[in-house]
Amino acid sequence: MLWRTHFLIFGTEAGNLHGGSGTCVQDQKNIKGVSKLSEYRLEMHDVVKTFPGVRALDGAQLKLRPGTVHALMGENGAGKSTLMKCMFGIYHMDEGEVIYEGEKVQIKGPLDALNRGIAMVHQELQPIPERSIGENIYVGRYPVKKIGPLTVIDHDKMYRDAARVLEEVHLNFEPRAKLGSLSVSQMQLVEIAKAVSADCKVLILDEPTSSLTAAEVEALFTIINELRGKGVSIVYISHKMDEILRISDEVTIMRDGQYIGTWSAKELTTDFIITKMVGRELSELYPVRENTPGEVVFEVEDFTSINPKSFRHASFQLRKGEILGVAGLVGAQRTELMEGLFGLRSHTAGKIIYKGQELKINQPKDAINNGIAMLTEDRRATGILGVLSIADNVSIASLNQYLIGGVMLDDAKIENLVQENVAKLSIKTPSSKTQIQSLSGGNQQKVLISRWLANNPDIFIMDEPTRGIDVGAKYEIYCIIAEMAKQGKSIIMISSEMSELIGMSDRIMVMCDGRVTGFIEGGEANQENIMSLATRFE
Amino acid sequence: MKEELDDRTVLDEEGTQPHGQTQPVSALDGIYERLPDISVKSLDRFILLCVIALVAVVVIGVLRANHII
Amino acid sequence: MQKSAESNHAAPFDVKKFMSNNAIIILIVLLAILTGCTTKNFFTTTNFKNLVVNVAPRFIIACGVSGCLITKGTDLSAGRAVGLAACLSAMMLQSVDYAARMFPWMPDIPWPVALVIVMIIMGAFGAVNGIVISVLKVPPFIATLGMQTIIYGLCSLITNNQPMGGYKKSYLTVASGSVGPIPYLMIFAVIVGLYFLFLYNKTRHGKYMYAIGGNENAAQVAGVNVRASLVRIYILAGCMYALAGFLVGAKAGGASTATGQGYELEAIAACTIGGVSANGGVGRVGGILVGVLVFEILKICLQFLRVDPAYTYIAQGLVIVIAVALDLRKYLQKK
Repeated sequence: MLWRTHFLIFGTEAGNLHGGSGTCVQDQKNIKGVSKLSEYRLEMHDVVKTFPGVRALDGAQLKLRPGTVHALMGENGAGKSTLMKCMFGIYHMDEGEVIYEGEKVQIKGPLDALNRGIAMVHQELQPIPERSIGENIYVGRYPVKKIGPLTVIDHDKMYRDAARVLEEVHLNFEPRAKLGSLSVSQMQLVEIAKAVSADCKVLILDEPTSSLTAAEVEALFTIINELRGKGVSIVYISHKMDEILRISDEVTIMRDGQYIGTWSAKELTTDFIITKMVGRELSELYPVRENTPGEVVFEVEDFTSINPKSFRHASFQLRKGEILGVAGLVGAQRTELMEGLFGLRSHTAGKIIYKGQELKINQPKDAINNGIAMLTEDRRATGILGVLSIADNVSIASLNQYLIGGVMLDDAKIENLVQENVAKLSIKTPSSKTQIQSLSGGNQQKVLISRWLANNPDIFIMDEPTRGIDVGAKYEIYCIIAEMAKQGKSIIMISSEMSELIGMSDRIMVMCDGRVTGFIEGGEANQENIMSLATRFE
Repeated sequence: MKEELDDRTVLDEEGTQPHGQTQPVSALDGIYERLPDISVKSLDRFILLCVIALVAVVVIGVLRANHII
Repeated sequence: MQKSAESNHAAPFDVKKFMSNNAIIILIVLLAILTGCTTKNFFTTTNFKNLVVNVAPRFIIACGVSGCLITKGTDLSAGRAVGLAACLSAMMLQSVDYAARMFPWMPDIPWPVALVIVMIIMGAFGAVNGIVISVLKVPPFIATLGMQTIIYGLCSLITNNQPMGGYKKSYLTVASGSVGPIPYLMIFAVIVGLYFLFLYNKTRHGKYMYAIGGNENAAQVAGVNVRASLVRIYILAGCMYALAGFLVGAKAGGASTATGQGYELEAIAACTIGGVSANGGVGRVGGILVGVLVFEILKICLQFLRVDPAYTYIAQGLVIVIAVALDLRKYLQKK
């Protein structure tokens, strides 16, 4: 992919690319026209996509009409992003088809999609901060000009076009300024401008407002309305109920990779949507918690990272048997703070006090020896030992406990440990020797939790514990968390799901841009006060 | 304002590095993930080719040793 | 609602899968049978002893390298390390009344003592490798490549590029002697094999090694002391090269700066055939033995068939390529 785009810049296929302000390959005037064969501009039917151990998409579908905002909703792991990646050709579908403007198509990748008139704003930004805003907007499709035999990038045209695009979306950034000079929310707006600038017929917005302030959200909605008026089909993927109900015409709900249904937005209520997304009644979303927070056992004072842009002056207290939720926008540095406390990142100032004693933590082993455990955000990257068995994964952090004669490992003891946990946490696996990577996300997470529980930690940091896990397993994990708290363990739970934070926390700590901005008691927490603290930028 | 074109980092929207991998452990680490997309089928054909070559080499060696070729 | 977890157990016997996983082994077995039927003296005890005596030191070297490979590293210094070890052993174990003794002042050292000394020295070299790789974060390929040339240089210096011989009887007997029908060399190899079997399967060190190979970042988070483990792995490798060099010298009755050249390639290839994946985290002692056997049997068969050694080289190269391709295939299938 990298090499192909380089090739294109050097002029061989340059003619087919956007030479500037979005001359899509298709005619401009057809943007409102519909194919005679169908009222839908884009359809996806019966899509199936499997990964090892997981059926990520199971008969999913989507039908987009022109000039509408179509919301795509579902829990984490429901398959929304996967479906979009299938549409874009980033993933290869096992089964199913994509029909675009009446014709069956096979899209080969993001650039091919862009050429056909389908643009996407990703949830995870991939900006190039050292380059200018204009370059970021036109990356992969720079306008070119010829100087003699050479084909070079036409910077003047690029910046002129970029300025126009930014104006169109009501942003007054200087196109030549470095992208890195903007805040995270501003970068997200530029990302949106980039997709809009392609001036195409289908626009997919994946969690576009996750880092935006209220004013910026309004600006975005204005743009969306304008695009809708022009006949663009917009897919709006989001968790935010009120936004969805405001801006969308139709709503498709997915659950566990399956298509649940499509409804007109006017007919929907928040409760109905949640019930459909989750598959269980609202009242049963979170288990009843019987823990009673006691005295303060853990204190963090003025914890500051060696990286000035990361966490700074973070202070909080943690009580015994308490579940402390940690809320914040993407980029708030919550994960970084917890990694710092666990010894995965370096800090330059600050104290950690546990049971009255100050702790020196420079590497994970130090934290573990002091009774701290951490379930990381990305279990594939830093959690599971993929090629190893479940038994190995469960026992790896506590091997010292299963020694015969101080040297030899007692396999029988380890097997017992595994079986205990399989029963206690309802882990579904054929045997203890199965490779952990063939388990579903939820079961993998439970194996990791068992790993940490084997050390009997007092403090358990969990970073997005239910990310990418199906709804049934989520509930089981909530029950596990509740049980741990009841037994007197203290849990720190980072989460980006508002409802999860409100449903599970005794207290919520909110961070914004590396600073702790406030605390909210569990009983008083709601979306508004959490968001207000989460967007308290300096 | 002419910038060198060779050190342009073009944004690869898919990202060739697996999700979450921050620094490679060694030069060869994760080399399987960085190789271009080879289908299992073409790999099978390659393996078959090598096996045939192997058998051929042995056969030719034997035949030459017995002065047949 | 529960997504089914795909298990790795295929219920019926999949012929195609068995063939593809074990293609090389099947081919070599066929070759052996063919050779046995068409030549004399193939299936004899002498030939078997010959095989064992060649396999033993190579198996020991492969065991040493396996730890490096399992943790996604490599050790290109193995061959030259074996050479240096052979030369060091020679220096200490030449017969006292040998006319061309390199160090006339060297006292009469019993061979077990000499062996221990050589293991300590080569273990130290291994430690350097381990530290450079785990603390200084130099890629193993480069670190051990550098060590390879350094060791070669040192060997040249201390031996003054003079080949050495004239060993004392007790040292020579280590390689030529046997307990009944079982050669001493085989006993050494068996002891090493059992030790590694125990180490890899029943100790914390083994589990940490596989964890680091499987996912170093995750191992770190789980509290594994990655640096210490890596250093231990490379020290152990060094000790194995020492033992192998000691045995190779005894077998050949002599040693020089050329001893051991290129041994690492065969050792690494043998590991790959035996299932040690370049992707890390996987590898078993049984597989390593199979890998070494495949190489040696291939060599012996072609020798018996009086094939020109050049063809043997090509054949070995193809075997290596097939082994790596099969490993890649296994990885791709899982994706």
